[in-house]
Amino acid sequence: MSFRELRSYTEVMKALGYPRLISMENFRTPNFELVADCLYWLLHRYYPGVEIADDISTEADRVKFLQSVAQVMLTKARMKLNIKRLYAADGNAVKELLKLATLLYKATSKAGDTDNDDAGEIIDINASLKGFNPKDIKGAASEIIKAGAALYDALGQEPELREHRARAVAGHVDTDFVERSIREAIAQVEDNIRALENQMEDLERNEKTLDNKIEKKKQELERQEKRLSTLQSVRPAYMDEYERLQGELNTLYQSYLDKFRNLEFLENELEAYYIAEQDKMEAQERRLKKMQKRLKEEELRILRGEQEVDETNMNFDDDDDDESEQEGEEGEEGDDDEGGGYHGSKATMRRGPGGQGAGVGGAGGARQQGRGQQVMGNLEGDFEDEASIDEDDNTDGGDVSRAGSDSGGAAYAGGNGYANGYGGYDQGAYMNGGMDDDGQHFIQDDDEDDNNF
Amino acid sequence: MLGEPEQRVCQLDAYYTDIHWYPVSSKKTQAGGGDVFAVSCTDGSVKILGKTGRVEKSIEAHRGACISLRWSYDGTALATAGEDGSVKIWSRNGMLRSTLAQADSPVYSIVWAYDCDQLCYCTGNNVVIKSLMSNAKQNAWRAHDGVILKVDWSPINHLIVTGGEDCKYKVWDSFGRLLYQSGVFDYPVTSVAWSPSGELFAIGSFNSLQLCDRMGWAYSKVHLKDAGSVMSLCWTADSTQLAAAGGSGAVVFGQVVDLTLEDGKMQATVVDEHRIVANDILNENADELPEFRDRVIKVSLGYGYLIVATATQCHVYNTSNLNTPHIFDLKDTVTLLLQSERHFLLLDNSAGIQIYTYEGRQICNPRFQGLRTELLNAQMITLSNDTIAVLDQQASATTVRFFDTAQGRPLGDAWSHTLEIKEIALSQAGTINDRQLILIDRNRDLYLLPVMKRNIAKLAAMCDSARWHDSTAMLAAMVDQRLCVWYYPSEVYVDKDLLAKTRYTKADSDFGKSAQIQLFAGNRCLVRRSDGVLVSAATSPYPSVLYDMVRRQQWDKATRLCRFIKDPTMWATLAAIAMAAKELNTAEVAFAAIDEVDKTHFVRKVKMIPTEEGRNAELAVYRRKPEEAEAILLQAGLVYRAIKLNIKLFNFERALDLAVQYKQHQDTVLYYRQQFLRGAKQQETIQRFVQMNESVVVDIAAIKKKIEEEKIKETQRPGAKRYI
Repeated sequence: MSFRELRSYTEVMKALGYPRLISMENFRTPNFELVADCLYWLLHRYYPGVEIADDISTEADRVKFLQSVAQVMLTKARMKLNIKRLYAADGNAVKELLKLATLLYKATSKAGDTDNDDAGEIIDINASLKGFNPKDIKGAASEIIKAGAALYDALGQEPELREHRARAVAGHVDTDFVERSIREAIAQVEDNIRALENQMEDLERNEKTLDNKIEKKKQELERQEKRLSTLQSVRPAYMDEYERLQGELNTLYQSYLDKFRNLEFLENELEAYYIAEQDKMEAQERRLKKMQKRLKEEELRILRGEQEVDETNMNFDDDDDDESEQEGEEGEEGDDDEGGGYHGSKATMRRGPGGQGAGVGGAGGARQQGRGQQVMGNLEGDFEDEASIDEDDNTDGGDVSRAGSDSGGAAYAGGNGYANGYGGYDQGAYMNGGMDDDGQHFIQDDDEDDNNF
Repeated sequence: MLGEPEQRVCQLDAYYTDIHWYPVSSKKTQAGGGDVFAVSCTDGSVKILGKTGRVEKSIEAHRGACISLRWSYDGTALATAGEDGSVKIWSRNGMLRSTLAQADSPVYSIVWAYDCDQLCYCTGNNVVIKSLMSNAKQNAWRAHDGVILKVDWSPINHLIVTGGEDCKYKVWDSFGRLLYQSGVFDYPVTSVAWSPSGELFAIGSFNSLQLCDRMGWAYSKVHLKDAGSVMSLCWTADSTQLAAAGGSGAVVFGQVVDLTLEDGKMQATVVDEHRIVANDILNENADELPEFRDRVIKVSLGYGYLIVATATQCHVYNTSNLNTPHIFDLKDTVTLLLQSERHFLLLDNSAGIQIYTYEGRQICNPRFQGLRTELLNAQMITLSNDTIAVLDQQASATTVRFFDTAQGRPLGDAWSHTLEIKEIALSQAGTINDRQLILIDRNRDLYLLPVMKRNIAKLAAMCDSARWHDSTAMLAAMVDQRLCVWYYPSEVYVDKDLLAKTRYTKADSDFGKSAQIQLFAGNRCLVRRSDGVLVSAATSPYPSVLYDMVRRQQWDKATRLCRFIKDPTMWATLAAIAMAAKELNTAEVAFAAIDEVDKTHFVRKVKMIPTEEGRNAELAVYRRKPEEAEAILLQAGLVYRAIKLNIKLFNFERALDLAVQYKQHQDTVLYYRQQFLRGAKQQETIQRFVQMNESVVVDIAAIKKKIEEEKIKETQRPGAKRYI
């Protein structure tokens, strides 16, 4: 009938680290072996060097064993054990065992506490050792040497001082005064400590409040950031309209581009036409000149008499012929002049488009390429066969541009500059426009448009 | 909860061994209730103390120490056990009722059964379950190799856990069958305690504390420094915290943390008692919810909402926006939290069942006589959009009560099963007319019960657990240690052969004994094996697709899907669904595909019937409901068809009744009867037919003509149209 003792005993023995587990039922029936084993183990825990006969085979041995245990406990621990109860080895024996075990348990739990403190100190030393550095140690060493020297000096003065000291010791000392002054000093130090502690507390409080503030601010910041992110994710109300307008703008710009391209193409066509016209005119002129030359030569030959005059032909014609030739020559000359004038005027007239052509042509090969593609793009491939024409066109344009730059390049330098800028703009636009067909490029197009605007 | 004593209650001259509060739920009902508790002492006395420490009653109960005592769950009796090996029952006022048992060694622990008419105690190596009825046989078995120090019996899942000096703990069912046996600890297991929810139990040993699942495997083990052996363990009513008393005088408090919930792409983890981290797996951003002022008690995640019940407040978060929860105050500690698509359910011990919307508005508070909220867990109460089903613990857990969620009124009568029910669950998909309840009873049989019609049908035996699909009417169950999925469980009312064909069994899977299905969503099944391993099992994705198409009335698409998959299970499912939806063309194709010649012919025949009512009647016959079919026909005025139906079912008397009642076709009935008798080579035995035979003339030609006329008449009825 010792439930609590049994439970406490098993618990304590577990805590002490008894190698076998003690059951609640172990002492229901007398179990001297276990009692003896526990006693022996506890005793050895208590006093490791003790020598006790552990023979419990006969009753006498058991009594002897218990007596020796009780003896040891009485002498070493001032603890009385009831041998009778222990011998019975039942629930009551547990009470006796518990006495011994509890003593050890308390001791070990206390020892555990002190062990902890020791461990703490060791850690402290280690920590302080970590803080050391060789410089400090060197300084300390030199100080030790100095102190040694001072000590040596002081010891040297000892014989003189001894007398003074003896006198002072012999003299009456006002212990009250000393005590008072010491007390005062202590009180002062304590005040100091108190003040410092107060200060520390204040500082800690401050720190805490500051920490709290920081925490609060952090939370606020987080909340605001969250809010910001939600706001960022929200789509403004005017966005739809903006996108719609953007789309409209894109289509409008597209149509503008188409029209501009078409205009350019037509202008180019016109130019080509002019050039062809001019070529024709020049060819005509050349032919006329050649004819004139030949006629002159013939005339000269006739005059030199190298060739017989075809009288039959020449006769009635001669005068007329001369006249007419004269006239013709004059006319031709006049014609020439006129032609020259006309040509000149025409040249000047043509300089405009030529210059422009130069400007447009001066935009460079890129533009030509772009233009070629653009034209094809415009024609939507219906006129694929005329790609060669387009190329001709381009080369014509190139020619024209060269001609233009030859003829009126200097005069229209400013114009050229303008044209270049213009061409530069064109280049971008055309390059983009040239690739209409591709959706991806279209998107790219958009972006570039944005940049341009 | 900070471990500081508030006050000293009282001091006695003997040492305490056990203490138990008077049960909470019966405080209201018992007149003499109130805050009292009982303590047992080493001097063998039992004392009943008031909250202030006033000794109300002191009893000299046992010789030697009184070791253990427990109030019964209804608070009417107190059981004590002592070192002298006797188990005694006392009344609330401390009068000895009976000495239940006298063992020859000390009884270390004692516990009541949930129904308060059985007691379980341990003495020596044995666990004994003894009924209060003296004539009932006691159930005793050798449970451990050493002395058993503690036993606990969960009132919710009826499992017994024991811990002994052989350094093991074991889980038993209430019949003494071993369910789980732990490995050997370093020290004896000194205490065990079930959580009130029955989902967890705690194990205390020397300097250690272990949290275990109800199946026995351990969630976590904590090493306690200098606590000594954990002598006693106690849970809070919400099953989230526990206190442990150590042999060195230490008291240890524990909180269940690291609870992780998942729903689709969201994951919520309870980090500690004030913090929850919500994790969006797709975006990979972990979002810590603002720290809760009170302790987090219950968390539930589902249907796009995260619900957190703290000690005083309930927070309802929308998972798409975790910044602005709906918050409302709670009156009492929440013990259970359930969700459906539109509502959620809170259970607490004072207000009972409460239904809230996700805006935090209370809708209703269903009540019934004998509701014992502390004995309800997630297996015993279930919620759907329109219905709540609760297992009534009062009537030994055989009765299910239904309530609607709109007003909280009872929905039909309570339904009683013949056996004790272990688990119930309502289907989530469809409307209230499709609402069905599954229940698993003590024999582990799985039944299906429609909420509106209440004709129960057995689906399977040896079922460990079952779960509805989250969005369709599919049902998954662990049957005979294998995972089964019924694609269309309602077919059980119509055709069991076809039901077997719509069942899909995962053949290669081995989940072991008593595996629990934790989740059945999409095409994934999450199964918790009895050793605690979570196994993810994939089911076919096609049935959900099929359901989807059917919901959108895309029958041709559904047929094409089945053709593509070429799976007889899918065809059978389609056939079943099509028959239920009266989509005869699809049904015909589907039946043909699974070689159901007879059913194909039947469908073709039904298609030939010119009237809608006639077809419905035939389909009712197909559903094995001839009375319904007859009612349909009579209501539509198709008397001849009704008579013919009864004749075909060889129900001649009923046919004759109808004929007499409507005064037509009496001769037809007689004619068919005679033909039948001739075919069976039997004499007329029914008196009425003998009489009729004498009075009515049977003219075969006239009958044939009349039948023809009836047929023509039916085709000419207004609205008569062939099925297209």
